[in-house]
Amino acid sequence: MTLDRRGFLVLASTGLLLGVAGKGLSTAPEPDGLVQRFLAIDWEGTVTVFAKHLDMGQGIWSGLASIVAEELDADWGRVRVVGAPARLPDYAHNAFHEQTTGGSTSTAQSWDELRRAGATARAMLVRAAAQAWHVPEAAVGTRRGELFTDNHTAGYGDFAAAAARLPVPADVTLKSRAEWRLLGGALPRTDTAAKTRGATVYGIDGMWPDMRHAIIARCPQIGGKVRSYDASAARAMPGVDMVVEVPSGIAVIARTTWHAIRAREALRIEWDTHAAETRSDTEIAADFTRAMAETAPAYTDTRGAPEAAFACAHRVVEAEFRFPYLAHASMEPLSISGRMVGGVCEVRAGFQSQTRNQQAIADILGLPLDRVALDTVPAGGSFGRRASFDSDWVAEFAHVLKATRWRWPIKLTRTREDDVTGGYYRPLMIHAMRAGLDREGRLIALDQRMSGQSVTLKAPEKPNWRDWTVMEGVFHELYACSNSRLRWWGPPARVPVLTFRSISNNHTGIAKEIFVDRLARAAGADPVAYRLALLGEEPRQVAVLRLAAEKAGWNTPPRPGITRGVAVHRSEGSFIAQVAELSGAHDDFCIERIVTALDCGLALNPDTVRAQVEGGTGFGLSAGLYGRVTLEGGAAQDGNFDMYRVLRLNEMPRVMETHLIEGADRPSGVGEPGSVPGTAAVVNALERMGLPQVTQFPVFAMSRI
Amino acid sequence: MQNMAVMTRACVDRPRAAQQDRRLMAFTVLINGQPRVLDCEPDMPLLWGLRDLLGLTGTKYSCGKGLCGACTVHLDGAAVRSCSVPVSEVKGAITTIEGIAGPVAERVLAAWDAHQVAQCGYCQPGQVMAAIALIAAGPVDDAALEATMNGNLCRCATYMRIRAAVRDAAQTFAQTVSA
Ligand code: FES
Ligand code: FES
Repeated sequence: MTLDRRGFLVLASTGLLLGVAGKGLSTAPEPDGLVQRFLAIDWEGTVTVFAKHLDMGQGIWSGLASIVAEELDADWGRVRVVGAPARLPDYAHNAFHEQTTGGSTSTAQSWDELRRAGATARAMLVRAAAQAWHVPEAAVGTRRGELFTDNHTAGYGDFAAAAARLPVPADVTLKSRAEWRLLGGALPRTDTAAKTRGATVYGIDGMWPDMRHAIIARCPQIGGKVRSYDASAARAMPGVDMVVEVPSGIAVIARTTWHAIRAREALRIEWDTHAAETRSDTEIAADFTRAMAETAPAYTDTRGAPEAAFACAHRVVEAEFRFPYLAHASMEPLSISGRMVGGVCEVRAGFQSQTRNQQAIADILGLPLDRVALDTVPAGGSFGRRASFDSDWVAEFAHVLKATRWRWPIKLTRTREDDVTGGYYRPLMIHAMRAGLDREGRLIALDQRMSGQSVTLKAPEKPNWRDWTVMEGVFHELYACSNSRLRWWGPPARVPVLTFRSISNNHTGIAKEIFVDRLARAAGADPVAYRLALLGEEPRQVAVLRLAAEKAGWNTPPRPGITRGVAVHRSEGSFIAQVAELSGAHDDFCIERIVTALDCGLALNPDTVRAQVEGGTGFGLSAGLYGRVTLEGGAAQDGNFDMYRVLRLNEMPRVMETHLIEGADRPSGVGEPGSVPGTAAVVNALERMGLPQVTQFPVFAMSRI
Repeated sequence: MQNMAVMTRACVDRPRAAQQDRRLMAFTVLINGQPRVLDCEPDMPLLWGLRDLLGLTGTKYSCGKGLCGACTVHLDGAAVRSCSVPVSEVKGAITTIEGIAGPVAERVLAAWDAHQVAQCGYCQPGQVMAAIALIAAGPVDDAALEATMNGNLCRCATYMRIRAAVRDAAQTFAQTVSA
């Protein structure tokens, strides 16, 4: 294993020299620290954890570090985390086989390798100390970054260099759960202080001497390209260094971001829109609906004989939901900075798909992979936007660097308007659902249709492929109904679409939970009991639903003026139920309380899990109640936060209680599940308060500001 | 992170550029207790002077239109949106997140740490600046808290903890004042 430039910088800057990792550098001096794939310990005892996943707010850097620190017996106050370099196979995701972050899988898939990494380093420190002290290894104990026997104490830093010279043990013993000191407890995040004090460097904050700032003019009509342009006025604007054409538009390079933004307004560009989207989102939705009537589905799955069952139904309930395009709109607009130095392209940003991002840059600049050094820094949000399969925002930067012949270090920023109007949205999706109930109101037949784009971009070659990015979380699969059919249509649109927090669950889960609530109402049944009856094969969903209901006092009437709504779901390997309590009227309400029960397996840091449930709930409510990208003539209309509405503090529930169930001995996803059921629980309460049945999202238009 | 500190040190003095452009003026602004010179056009928003000319990147850009609060700084102790204040109109002392100090700031930061508010963290410097100005201005009830903090968006929706941290900081500050 050789270290790349960034890895070397990390070590050099911390006083670390190359230990076990250094064999690629023949001139490496004797090590004075221990360096391994996932961690380094310097001579002062500072532990640096190399995180292969991106922290976009979910706390994964802290989470990964805590796994290492537990087995290492580290002093938590002396643990820091940096982004690992982009390098395969060292930092590959163990399921996706490339370096990437997504699907709330990071903790689960890192669990084994990081425990071993920490335990291995600890074993090497113990051996080094035992040799120096001439005692058996069993006599050496570890605690909080210290080695000790009855007669000795030393810090990890004192033995880091000696440990680095030892062979790496093939097998190590992991701690039993009873021995954990850090995991499962209330551990503060490693990044809290720096983030709170403005000291964290995000992609948008990178700076190098002589750096220039770039802004790109892109075609307002999504998918359009430059036909011709006149930059003479823009070039004459103060502070402008250069104007260049790149595949996605015209880039202005200037002294500051503001100069670039201002000069962009002076560009005169004629767009070639022959390949651009031309429709409004309303027209696209109508086309998607029509496709279900007029074309063959891309996927069909049938259980039993749904049509025969419908024929015996006592009552048929139907619903249609239209989910809009959504922009991720993280608070840090997409931005990226970099330079070419000594033949190496150094790029800094919150990279979510390092392998693809690095490849995209290498291809554009004509560099070998090992000459593209990614510095992955924390992202000011992503929610899926940074995971674009085609690395669009990274490639665009490489093109700017190339077009300027890497004369300066460059930072490419998107304005909020660029960020919201630039496509790569949560897909617009139509759900059409039909259920047949028997005389007692029991579900005997289901027909579920969906129409909308897949984020996998390519129509699958395999016929009838179950595209999980579209169908994960559907009613057809999560509730037991022996006569049931699911169909999906993937009609064309030129709006690029992308993963969005919880992938498809952000529409499938909501449609499912509003629909089942309506079935319960049609049956005159209690909505919790009705769901429990349909969750036969889902014991962990049953358990969270029961717990949320119990903690919310479901079986006792709410306070006067309060209406309750409930929803349950499973996604990303976790199980979640929420009960919402609303006051006021359906058009002027307050979410008084949301009670959550979550089973995410082993909760490594319960406080972080709660934070993710709280934030996820707010994020989900933001989308469900207020979020929509409106297209007119193929161009997004909602440039900034005045038009693209996101949840504000006063719209957050007054009280949130989160109860955890440990349904497994390994961790499962926490970043995404919390964002799913909240909207459904709130809508279910609102419909009980008299809101006409919701047929499209967001539930409220701009008026509720 | 030491390696980053080296790479991120702002390099901002461009006398050459300043000489070339006659529309540039030198504005002296008191920032975090020190007079700083901003060579720029009069209408350049303070935000970009702070970030791109002085390298004070703790003040964040997110909307540029006074809609989100990420760029909040103090002008003589009051919260202002630096994206909406032209450099030429700054008449008073500016404090950014890098320069906050004093009993209110200490309590706010401590509360933010204790409640583990930050997720992605990008909005938090602006949140903290808004909270400090709010608490320093007088007693804080829930209505005042909402009226002020509603102006600061958090896409990670850390609002539960923002609310709790502001209440906490306001309370501990009020106790020390009355003690
Ligand atoms: S950037 Fe100034 S208020 Fe949003
Ligand atoms: S913590 Fe991410 S935007 Fe507020």
